[in-house]
Amino acid sequence: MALKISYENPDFPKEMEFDIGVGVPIPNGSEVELTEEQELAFVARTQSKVKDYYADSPSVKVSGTTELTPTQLKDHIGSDVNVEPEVDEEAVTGEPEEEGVNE
Amino acid sequence: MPAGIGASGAVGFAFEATMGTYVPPTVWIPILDESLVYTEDKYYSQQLRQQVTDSDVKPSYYHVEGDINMEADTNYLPYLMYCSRHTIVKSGAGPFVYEFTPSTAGATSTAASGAVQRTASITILRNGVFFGYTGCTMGGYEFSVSTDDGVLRTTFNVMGLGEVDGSGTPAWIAPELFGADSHQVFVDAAGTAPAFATPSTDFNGFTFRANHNPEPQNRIVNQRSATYTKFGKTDFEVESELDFIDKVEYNNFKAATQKAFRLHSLVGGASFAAASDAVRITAYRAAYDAYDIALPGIGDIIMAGFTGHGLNITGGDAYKIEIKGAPSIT
Repeated sequence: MALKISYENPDFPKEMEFDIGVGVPIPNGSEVELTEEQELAFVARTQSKVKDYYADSPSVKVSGTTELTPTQLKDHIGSDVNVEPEVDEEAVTGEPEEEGVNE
Repeated sequence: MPAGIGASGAVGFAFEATMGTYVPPTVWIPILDESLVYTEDKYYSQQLRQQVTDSDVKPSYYHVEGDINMEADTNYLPYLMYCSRHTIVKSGAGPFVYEFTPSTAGATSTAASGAVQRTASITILRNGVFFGYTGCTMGGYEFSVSTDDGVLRTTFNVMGLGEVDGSGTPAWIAPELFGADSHQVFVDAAGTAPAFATPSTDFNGFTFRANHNPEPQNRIVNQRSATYTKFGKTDFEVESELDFIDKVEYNNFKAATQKAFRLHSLVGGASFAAASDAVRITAYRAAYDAYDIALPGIGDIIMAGFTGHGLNITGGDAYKIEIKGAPSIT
């Protein structure tokens, strides 16, 4: 599931479009889903993961899971930024394979 | 971090519920430039210790001041005008109309909500570094249009109490500017409700400016930032230049005959009522302080330059600034 970003500013009319730097305008009170390309461009520009960048924003809410691999994040973010993969809590883990038994 | 340029900058704005307590931005305002600075007169000790130079330094009281220059955009003007010395009336159901008229408030104040005078936290992003300025008021402002490009511009003279580390994530709306086809200037006899029936066709610019003469105030509390900002007398004036046609207004200048002036700038309609975005500034009574006419060069138009000194008027408002636009401020 890709990242979804919503923007809400109660002072302005619904559907007024806001540019928050994710590569696509967001209508006030609405939500957009980022493509992998848009997310990668955001990371390259801000040197930050999307969720981290908007963590303290009262107007922007980010949900979903990044479509970027740890390698992509590491390639585009400075070395002092944590690029550990986010835990996908909805992922289904498979049963561990049985180890071979030496006869 | 390499050197940065102004293009990467941003200015954010938020009303304060408590004066001087920083609030991250709720609105981001596109500006042309700003000059807000931390202003302090440090104490330098001139102890007598067989030295001819100062001996020590001690941080002293400070405040913030500077200008914000921007194109007039009704998505943002009401926010800034709330933070000035005015009585505010809000009406409409979208677009909304805000009327600002002079009040007698002696100092800055704020509230959590309501059409009342407020203070603001202004956040400025400079080369990736946030600066947060608290307790800000617009101590003066200027609305100006000229035939150089016909765009209505504003300058706000900001005075604030303190500075903190700011924060925020910018968000931008498409620009809505007032261009060359937006403006008309009217002149009438001074009065509380001039007709302003016919627009003038002689002006090559128009400037309205007001100054509430703010001064930061410090009190004996354990802080160096200013405690509040006081307002002084409000000075306001109209300044312009127009084609010199006859001596009628020149004689009014010599006789101190008062006039009323209005600039209105409209987008989306031919009248203030019909427009979707509008700025209307009216000075109800002004006396010509200067009315200069001179012969220019051989091929130049003979112009009259004037300054109108604003006066209050019995039974009415000295001036009114009306802004019509999308935001609904609560």
